[in-house]
Amino acid sequence: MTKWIALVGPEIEENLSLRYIASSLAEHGFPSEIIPFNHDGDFGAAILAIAGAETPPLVVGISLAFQWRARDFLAFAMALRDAGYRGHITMGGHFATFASDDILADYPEIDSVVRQEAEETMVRLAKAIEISSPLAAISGLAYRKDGAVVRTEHPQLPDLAKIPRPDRRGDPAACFGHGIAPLVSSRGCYANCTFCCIAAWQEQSLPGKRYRLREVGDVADEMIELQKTRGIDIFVFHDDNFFVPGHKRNRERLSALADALEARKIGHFATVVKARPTDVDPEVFRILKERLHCIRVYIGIETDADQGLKTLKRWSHSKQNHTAIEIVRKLDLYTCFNMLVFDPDTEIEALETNIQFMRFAPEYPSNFGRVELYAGTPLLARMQQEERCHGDYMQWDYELGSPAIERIFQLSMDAFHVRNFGGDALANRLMGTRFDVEVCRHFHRDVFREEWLDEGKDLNRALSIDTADGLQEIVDWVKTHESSEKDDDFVAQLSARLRKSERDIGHRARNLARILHEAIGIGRPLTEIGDKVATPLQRMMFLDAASGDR
Amino acid sequence: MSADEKKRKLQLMPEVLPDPRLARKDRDARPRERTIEHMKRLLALTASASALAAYSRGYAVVDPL
Repeated sequence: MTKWIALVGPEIEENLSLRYIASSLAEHGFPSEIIPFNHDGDFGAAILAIAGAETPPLVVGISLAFQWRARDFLAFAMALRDAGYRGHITMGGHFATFASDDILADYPEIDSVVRQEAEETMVRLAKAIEISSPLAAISGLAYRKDGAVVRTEHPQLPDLAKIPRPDRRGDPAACFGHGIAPLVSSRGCYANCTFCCIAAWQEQSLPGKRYRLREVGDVADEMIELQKTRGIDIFVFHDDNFFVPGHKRNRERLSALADALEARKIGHFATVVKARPTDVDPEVFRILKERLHCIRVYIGIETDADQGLKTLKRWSHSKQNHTAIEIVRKLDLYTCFNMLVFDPDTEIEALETNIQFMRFAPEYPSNFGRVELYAGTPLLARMQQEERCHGDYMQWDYELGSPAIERIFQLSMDAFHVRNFGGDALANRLMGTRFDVEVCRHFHRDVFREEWLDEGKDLNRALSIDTADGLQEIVDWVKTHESSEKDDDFVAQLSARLRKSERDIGHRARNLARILHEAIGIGRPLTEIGDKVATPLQRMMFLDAASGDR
Repeated sequence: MSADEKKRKLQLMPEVLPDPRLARKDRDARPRERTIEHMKRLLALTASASALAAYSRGYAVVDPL
């Protein structure tokens, strides 16, 4: 390959950001390699993929998909330079867009930042680098010139009807042999939450509106193609928000998509979507479940406290959160949600309201954490103005609203960190186990047993209630113990109990996944079941081979 | 399936929350210095460290803008 582009980023799932860029580059004669950097162990291989290539790439494009991983990817760029790469290195994504000036000031290893959506900018950049033409003519860039950072004009957003569909190289993810593909039917979200970098990013390009849609026919065509060419049965809509403002418009759009899929004779399929609580409507969600075969909807509950809803500017009320859960409960539709129970203004009353919400919806997997301050967001701007945050553009930290809440937060992180964060966190793993159950229920009705769904719900219930109990215990401890002298002992005792619950629930979850695996007999669950368990089909084939029947 | 193959196989990610503790690490050093230390840690971890050493010219601090 004489000229090529290296695209580096997380690829735990198909990285749609990189893959849309890869397609656009290919359309203009630039082949690319997608180089995954998912965790620390990938670092060396990713460097070697570029530094050790026979021909160095024309451009290295790094996807800064998550602000909390910025350090990884900046370290990557540094190491790449140290390994001898002399070509153009660019970075993109929400964080890179907002922090472009700081990144270019602090990291001479980085030559440019692609601001906003990158498909067309990357093509222009590749062409410019190839013929050594000036970068000033490319909109949507930030780069260094004569010691200063130059930002070119704000780019036009790509027309979603015209950009090529994402590159689909490699094998898809799967659950029990059912291919899984991420896709988007829209970009952006109509809401404008204060903590959200997506809203802030989109506001730069589409002030007041912040989203745009693909035609449903085009979406249906993509789904059909994925099903036919890659065996995809499960379509994961990674839209920032799958829904548009207004229930009537949602009914129309979802019905139109279902009509388009039926007209194209799509085979048995399932969808996964994300929603705001205000999007959840009985008729809209009936269409979602019955016609678009949704098997999981992530609902952005975030907080149920009036104070939190105001701080985060969620444009919703506690009643809507409860109604959303009641609607999905009535439809027997699997949902999961997260709760940002700690925010800059949280008081104990608000925290206890959120703990109550966990008890209200325990049969659905959930997790809790703190609102983080992302680059470019109104919440960060507010905290900077109030001089309440400390750190730097890479990561901001802040103390919560009162010493009591800050202490509760610290104790919660000490006790719950293992459960809530990191790849092996049970709160995340249980989302996968429940998904295994739903895939079985949807695609393998012939073998499915209701008791497996009951067990799945029981597991979620067990963890949710245990989490709520543990959090309440921390709140009660702080309320009744003014001194923090014995906090360490308290956390040690609580943590021991939480770890035991996690072992018990985790063990049951693996058992459930193994049972599903045995029953279905194809592929593997999302749940890590550890040992290599031969399926009945594999065992049969082995026996046949051993007996010489083949 | 080997551990490496398992790692490389695409998955369906859960809706993960950011870890608040990441914001509290290494607060004293400036971003670039923190990144240099992080890079060194990552290089030390890599199984390809010996291969990378063949390419390295020795990392020198480059004056930022």
